[in-house]
Amino acid sequence: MKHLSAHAAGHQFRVTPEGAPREGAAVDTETMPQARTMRDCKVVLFNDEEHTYDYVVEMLTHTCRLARTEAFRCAVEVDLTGRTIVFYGSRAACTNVVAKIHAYGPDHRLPQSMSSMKAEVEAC
Amino acid sequence: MLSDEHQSMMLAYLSGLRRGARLRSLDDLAALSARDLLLLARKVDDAALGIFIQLLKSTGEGRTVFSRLMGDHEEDNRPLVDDFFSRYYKCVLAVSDDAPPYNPLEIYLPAHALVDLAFVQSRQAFFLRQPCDVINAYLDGLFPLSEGPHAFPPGGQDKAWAYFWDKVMSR
Repeated sequence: MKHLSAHAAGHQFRVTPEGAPREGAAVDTETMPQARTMRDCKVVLFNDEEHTYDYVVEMLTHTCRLARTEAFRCAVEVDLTGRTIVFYGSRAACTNVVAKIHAYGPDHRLPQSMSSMKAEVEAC
Repeated sequence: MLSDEHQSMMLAYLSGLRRGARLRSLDDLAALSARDLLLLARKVDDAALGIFIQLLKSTGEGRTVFSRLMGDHEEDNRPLVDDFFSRYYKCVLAVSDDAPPYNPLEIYLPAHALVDLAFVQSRQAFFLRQPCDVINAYLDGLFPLSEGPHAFPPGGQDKAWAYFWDKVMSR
C-alpha cells in the first residue's frame, strides 16, 4: 500500500482516494479530461549552494502554497537529488509559479546569495 | 561533501548504532532497505542528523536514498518517515515555529550593510515581503523622525521601499 500523503506537491497528483477512478482510466464524464488538461505540466525546482533550507521552505509556502512540512520534504529532496517537483497544473499556472519563484529574490540569510532559485516548467 | 576522514568517522558511528553488520563504505549505507535506514536514522543523535544527511548525499545515490527516507512510500514505514522528517525539520531550520518574534530587516539588512548599494538593491524583494509594521519599526531605528514614528499603512511596501532607497542613497 502506498502513502497517501507521500511528499509535497509532486506526489499529490498520484493520490487516488479509495473508489475514485484512477488517472487515465476510462470515465464517462467531462470533468476528468478537463482535469487532465489542467494538470499537464509541472514545476521543477533545482538545487544550488546559494539558498538555505529555511529559504526553500519559506519560498515554497509563499509561491506554491505548500504546508511547511511539505515544503521541507521538497527541500530535503532538492538537496539530496538536485531537483524536486513543487507544483502541478496547467502550463499557464506553472509558468506563473516559476515567475514567482524567480521573483522571490536572494536568500537574505546568506550575504553571498544574489539571486533566486532556478525553476522550470516541464511537461508531464 | 564530507571529507574522507569525516565519512569514515560517521560510518563508524553508524555501525556502532546498528550493532549489526558493520558499514564499511557508502555503498553499504546506500544498500540499506528503507526500513533499516529509517531505523538507523531514528538512533542518530539530533546533533548528527545534518551530517547524516550529508553522508547520504555523498553516496551519489540521491534519488534512491531519498526514496528510502520516504520509506519507499510503504504505509508500514510511514510512522518512521514522519518521525524522521519531524526531527530533521526541528534540527535544520534556523527559525522554529515557536521562536520569539524579531525584526528580520534589522537582522538581515543591518545599518552597516547599507553602504553596499548592490547588496541593498538585491534585498528589495525581501524588504517588500515584510508587513508594514515591521518596516515602520525598522525605519524608526534607522531614520528616526522628530514628528513621530514612521506610519506606512498596510499595502504601502512599495512607497516604503522608495522612501528607504532614497534615504540610503542620500546617506
